[in-house]
Amino acid sequence: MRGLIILFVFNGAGLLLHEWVGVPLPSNVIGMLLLVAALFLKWIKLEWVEESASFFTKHMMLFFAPLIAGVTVFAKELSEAWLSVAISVVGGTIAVMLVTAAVVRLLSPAEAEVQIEAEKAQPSQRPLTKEGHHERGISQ
Amino acid sequence: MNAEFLSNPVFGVSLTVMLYGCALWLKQKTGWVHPLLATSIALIGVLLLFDIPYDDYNAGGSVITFFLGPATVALAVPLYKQALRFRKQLLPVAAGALIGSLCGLVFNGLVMLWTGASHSLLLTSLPKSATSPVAIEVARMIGGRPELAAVLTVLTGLFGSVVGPRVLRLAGFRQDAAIGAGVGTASHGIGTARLFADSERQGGISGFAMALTAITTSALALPVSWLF
Repeated sequence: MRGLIILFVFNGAGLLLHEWVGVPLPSNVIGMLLLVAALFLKWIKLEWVEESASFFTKHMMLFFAPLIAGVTVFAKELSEAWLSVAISVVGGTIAVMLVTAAVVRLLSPAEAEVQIEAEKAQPSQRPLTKEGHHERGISQ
Repeated sequence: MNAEFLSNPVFGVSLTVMLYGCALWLKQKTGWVHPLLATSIALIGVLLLFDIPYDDYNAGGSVITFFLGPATVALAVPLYKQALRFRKQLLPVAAGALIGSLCGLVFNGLVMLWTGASHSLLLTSLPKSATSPVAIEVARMIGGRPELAAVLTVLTGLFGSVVGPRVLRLAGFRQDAAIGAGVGTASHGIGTARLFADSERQGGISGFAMALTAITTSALALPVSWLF
């Protein structure tokens, strides 16, 4: 319950900042940023929100379903503009993905270094799982 | 069908939750059913079959979409956890998400312009690489239509989660950071969920990139929309 209250309080704070102060971000994004800041500043303990937050992120798909059903209202328009929609969904998604990955590869430290760094950061992780993922990733 | 109870919010809420439950069960049974896709198709099927007006259903449907607000705030938790774990890669991933999401905004606008789509479709399509609650709010903010934005966003997420990892591998990307950032920036939560199934590292980076994309898209969508 505490986690739920925290999520709603930050959502509400985001709304206030958006409506009254005029912060030009969607209110839910403002709430998210405030909560990240509060977690880093240790004003909010991770344990307080972790459980509620993981429920919401795990079942996020449910909350989209009514909006998707709204496609019926737009069916005519979507089929009229199907070429635009198809090019932007297929081309746009692939373009964004490749550009992002290229920038990351360009700026990243060498992979070996990064692996060691990650090992240090989370010594609890078993090396076996990493090997497994790696192999699976290539064979797919 | 025209009955009083259909416009009672309880109808929309219970129908949606019930179908979502069935979709989760199917996913567990088969392993490949996409819960959101299955729920949505079943929902549309029921509405069409019984000739239920969307507005009636949405009395309850909007109660469910209301929870996208706290769900987006909840993304702060994975963002915080991943930021602690991937310190070295934060800068490259952040730069990738920033440039990638800017590229997405401009690319979507140009495609809509070249293919002669309506101005409202153009505005609606701009933020579709951001996570849906953000894309919906951004579309509303810049003068597009929220429901249509949700549809385009989910199509983008589904497409990215299906082809993303394969396309990136074919293009020669092997680093977890590059794959995670690419999929997270282009196809938000749906792509991230897919990566989590394969690799915790890629999923974590993808979640981080998705949160950054939510921020950059919210900040950049308005200025980019003035270009068109």
